Amino acid sequence: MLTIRAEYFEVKIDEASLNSSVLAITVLDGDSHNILMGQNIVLWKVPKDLHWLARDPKISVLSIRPVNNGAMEIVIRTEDTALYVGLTTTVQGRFEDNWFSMKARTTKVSVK
Amino acid sequence: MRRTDLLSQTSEFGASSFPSFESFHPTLSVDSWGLHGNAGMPSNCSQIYENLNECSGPNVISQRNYPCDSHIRAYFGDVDLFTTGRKSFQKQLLQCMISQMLWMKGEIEQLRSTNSFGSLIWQLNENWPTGGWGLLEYGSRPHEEGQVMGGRWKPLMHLLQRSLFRDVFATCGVAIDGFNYGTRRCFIRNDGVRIVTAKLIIELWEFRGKTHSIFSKEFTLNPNGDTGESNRTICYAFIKEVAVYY
Repeated sequence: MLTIRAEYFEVKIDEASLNSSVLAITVLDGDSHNILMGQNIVLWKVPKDLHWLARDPKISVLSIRPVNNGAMEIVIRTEDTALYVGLTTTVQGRFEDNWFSMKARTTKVSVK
Repeated sequence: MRRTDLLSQTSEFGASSFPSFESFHPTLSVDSWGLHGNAGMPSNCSQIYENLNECSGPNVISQRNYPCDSHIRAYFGDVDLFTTGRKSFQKQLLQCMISQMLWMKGEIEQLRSTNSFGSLIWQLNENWPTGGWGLLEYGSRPHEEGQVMGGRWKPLMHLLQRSLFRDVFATCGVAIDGFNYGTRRCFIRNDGVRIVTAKLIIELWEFRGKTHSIFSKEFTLNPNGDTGESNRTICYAFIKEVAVYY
């Protein structure tokens, strides 16, 4: 395998896809059981030119319940692709993951 | 404020934004919950340079630092910024913060596509709940209404943590170096201090649910991020093609 510091490569994407989708780039650590090293969502155009972004992705909160040590668990689900989903609170503390993007028809669990 | 070169290290650059509704609204009367403060007129601001501006007039928001009109319009179009009330203000402030995030995303992605080995963002935390350059909201007085210890993270801070400032970073944009001009070009690089084996997966997420896998490959990357290219811009993010300045 070629050992390099950085590599450039090209991907082929048809024009129609540029208007109806986003690119999700996921980097996994191959040395550590594919632990997530990073995820980058690439918009092909600014939001004002991606008209589907303005639609309601139909996100719902499935449950909010107390778990161990006073923490709260929140479960949310989206029917369509949802970008830049944020969880916030006015009380002290933060969610373990409170800013993310979700594929369509997926569920996300976060604990505060 | 923006960087002026693509040499080996960049200091300092940033983009301003208002804070979240949760942090901002306790400093305003309910009647002023709106980007234009419910005054029926825009923030009367003039640009000094780039994001630095002066504002005047009876609009209470005009008395705050760094209005966000141009940011929101650049990324979200000709939206009505005169609407008021909780939901409108929440949306305006969120769009403002996302605009900051997307502009910086374009800057940093372009930066990391070159032989750049360092970047310093102005700035980490806000000094009070208003428009500013911070990545963290005001957090020095968590006992005050709306503030939390250490400050809430703005969206840009999350993006730095999730991808932009990770040691191993990958993105795609459009090639501008003359070779296959306009093609969708991607890169992955390692700015860490150890050799990394990274598995890269690229998917297309359609709005209505289909996912298409378009690329998957394992890379072994030496440390320190040398792109092996000269100091030129290789990859240019689409999202950067707008200006957000006043």
